[in-house]
Amino acid sequence: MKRKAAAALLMAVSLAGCVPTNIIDDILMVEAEGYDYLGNGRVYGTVTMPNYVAGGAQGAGGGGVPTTAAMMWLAEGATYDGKSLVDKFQSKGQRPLRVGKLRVMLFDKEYAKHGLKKQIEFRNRDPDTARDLYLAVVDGSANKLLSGKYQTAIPISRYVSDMIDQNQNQNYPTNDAHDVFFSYYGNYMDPFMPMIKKRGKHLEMQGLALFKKDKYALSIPERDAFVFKMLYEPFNQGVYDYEFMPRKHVALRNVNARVQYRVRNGNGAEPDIKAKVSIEGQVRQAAPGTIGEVPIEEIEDGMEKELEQKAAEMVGKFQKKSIDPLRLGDRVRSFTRRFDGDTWQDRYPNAHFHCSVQIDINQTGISR
Amino acid sequence: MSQKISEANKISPIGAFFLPHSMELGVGALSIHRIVSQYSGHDAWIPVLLFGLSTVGLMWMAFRLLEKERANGGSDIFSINQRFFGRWLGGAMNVIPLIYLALFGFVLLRSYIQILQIWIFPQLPTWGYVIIYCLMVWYIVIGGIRTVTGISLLSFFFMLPVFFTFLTSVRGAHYANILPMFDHGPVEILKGFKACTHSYLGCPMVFFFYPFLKRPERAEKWSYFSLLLMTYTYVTMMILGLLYFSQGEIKTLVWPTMSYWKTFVPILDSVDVFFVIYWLWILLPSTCFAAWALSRGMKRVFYLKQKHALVFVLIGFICASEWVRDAREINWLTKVFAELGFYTFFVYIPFLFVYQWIFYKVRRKNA
Repeated sequence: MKRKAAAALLMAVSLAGCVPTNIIDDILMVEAEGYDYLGNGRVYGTVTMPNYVAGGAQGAGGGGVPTTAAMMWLAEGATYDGKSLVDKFQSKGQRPLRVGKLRVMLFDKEYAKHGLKKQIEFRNRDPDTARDLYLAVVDGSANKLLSGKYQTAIPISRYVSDMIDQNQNQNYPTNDAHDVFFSYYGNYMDPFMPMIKKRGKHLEMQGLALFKKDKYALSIPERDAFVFKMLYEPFNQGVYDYEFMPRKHVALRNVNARVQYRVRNGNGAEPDIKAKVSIEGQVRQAAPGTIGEVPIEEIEDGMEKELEQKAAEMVGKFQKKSIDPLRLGDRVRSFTRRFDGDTWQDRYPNAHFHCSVQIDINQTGISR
Repeated sequence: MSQKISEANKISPIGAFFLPHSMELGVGALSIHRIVSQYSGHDAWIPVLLFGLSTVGLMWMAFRLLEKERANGGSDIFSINQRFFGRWLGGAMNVIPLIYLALFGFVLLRSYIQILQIWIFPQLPTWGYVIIYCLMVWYIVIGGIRTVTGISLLSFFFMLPVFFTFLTSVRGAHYANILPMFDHGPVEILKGFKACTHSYLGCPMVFFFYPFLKRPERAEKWSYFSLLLMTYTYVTMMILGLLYFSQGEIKTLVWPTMSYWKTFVPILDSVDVFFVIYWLWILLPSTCFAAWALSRGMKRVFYLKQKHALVFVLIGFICASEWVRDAREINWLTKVFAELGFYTFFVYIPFLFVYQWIFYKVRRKNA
């Protein structure tokens, strides 16, 4: 009995040597990947990783010890489309590169136009990466964005992912890698990604990049993100800026927005899609001479009209390009028995979309 | 032929709750979404529910069968076969449950190692893991069925947090995904129904441990509870998976449950890695039970000593897991096993049930 236990123990010990370890101090964790398309199936890849080093003497208060930000590490080079950047730059790392903590993947517009199929399918296959990382399109060069200088000392990967994250809690629709996979592999829908841009020493959200499956097709500007989100999912933190009269703005902060779809005639040649949006909101910022002087119903009505019109325009644009980032096709499917999916691509541009918005401004701040 | 089992070696009726539960939950739970919804689409939860209910029916049949046999002495599948079909034909038929058990233990073990290798340790040698694992199994099984049941009990309690991940998380759920309900025809549902077998393969294990139950009439109730709980878990799991993934996406994922775990905790990354290791507790009772029942079956069929049979079984596991080298072979084995399981469930067991009824009718007439 004892001998057998000893044998088991010996084996456990000897087996521990068989498998390579990934100790956090001994690896470089890639946090951001950037891709710029060079044309002809070649891309220029950039990866950044913080270089964690052992801290200084305890109680030294960090004096003299470089922070993680200062130790950001960057590797770049050209390779073929679809190559794993971590494998590509392994030879440049002074320690093994690992991809488990990847936060953002950035693609430049050219690459997005070329198609992200290889990247998306690679990420879906890879068990090491999370599904809540952000994919984003860069207006400009992803390499310049990742290697640039910024006002903040936060590592660039976290800067980008924090910015996308906080914006998605507000006006931007939630969209991480899982959502992209959902729409990319799903039937009757197309993915979208946030678009970001480096301007001077800052990063900026630039609206949404919409895809036709894996290829960039259209972008919508930041001011339309609210309308997109309103049709896409329920949310409670957006801000909508409404020009009530020329140069008199009222900003609606919504505390609760919901959307309900109704579909009729889903298998017909021209399906009817009705979106009913109800927004509860409050007003804080209002130009003098608006709130308190005009009846609140008038402001609500104007806002409703504008949103309805913008929504119809936006969906009309999608239908013309026959892209479906709002997953309307899937909504039609969910309302239709024995949904005829094969002809949906032909019927989608002819679908009648109608949006009715119901705004309820339930408070206007603490002054009259 | 069948010697008396001493009271000290028997398990209490509640053991019939823990055993089928931990037998049913296996590696099948990780891929159930893909396997079923490739046939039944977004209605995949219906066949899962139907299959779960039909396992309750099977369990009822099994208890009726075994109850009647108890009066005649040995009441497991081996003595049933021999009594019904005679010494030679019955002996030959006894090989079927042995194959079933061998596949049950082995397919589970090998698929788990495959997941472990894919997810965490790509360089892990299969033999090394299996040898250590089999030593552990040997240590448990040598303690008898009571120890195996104890491991099932532990597994149940250790798995409670994992079940809660299926009961609570609705983050990122698209409720429209499972609408419209009942949109698939009977053929598609039945195909999905057959595909479910893979996840419910542990259910007929009662044929092996029945003689070890104290007061089996009280155990019956527990085993129904166990199956219903498992059905509930599978159905909620299925529905959440369907809500979370789009249909196209589910088809690309080999183990959707693992991918589901990748994001379900908002503040922690890579929870799936943790669950891969934790899933060992699902695996352990099933392999232990398979090894125990297999060694006991070999004792009954080939008249070996159970101790020696156990060593033989475990060495068989080790050799076989080296022999099955890649994912393709594992998939093939899994498919064969699921096929065998399906016919065991819906042909063999009902056949025995009907046969028994006729058998005793004819006998009574003759007597």
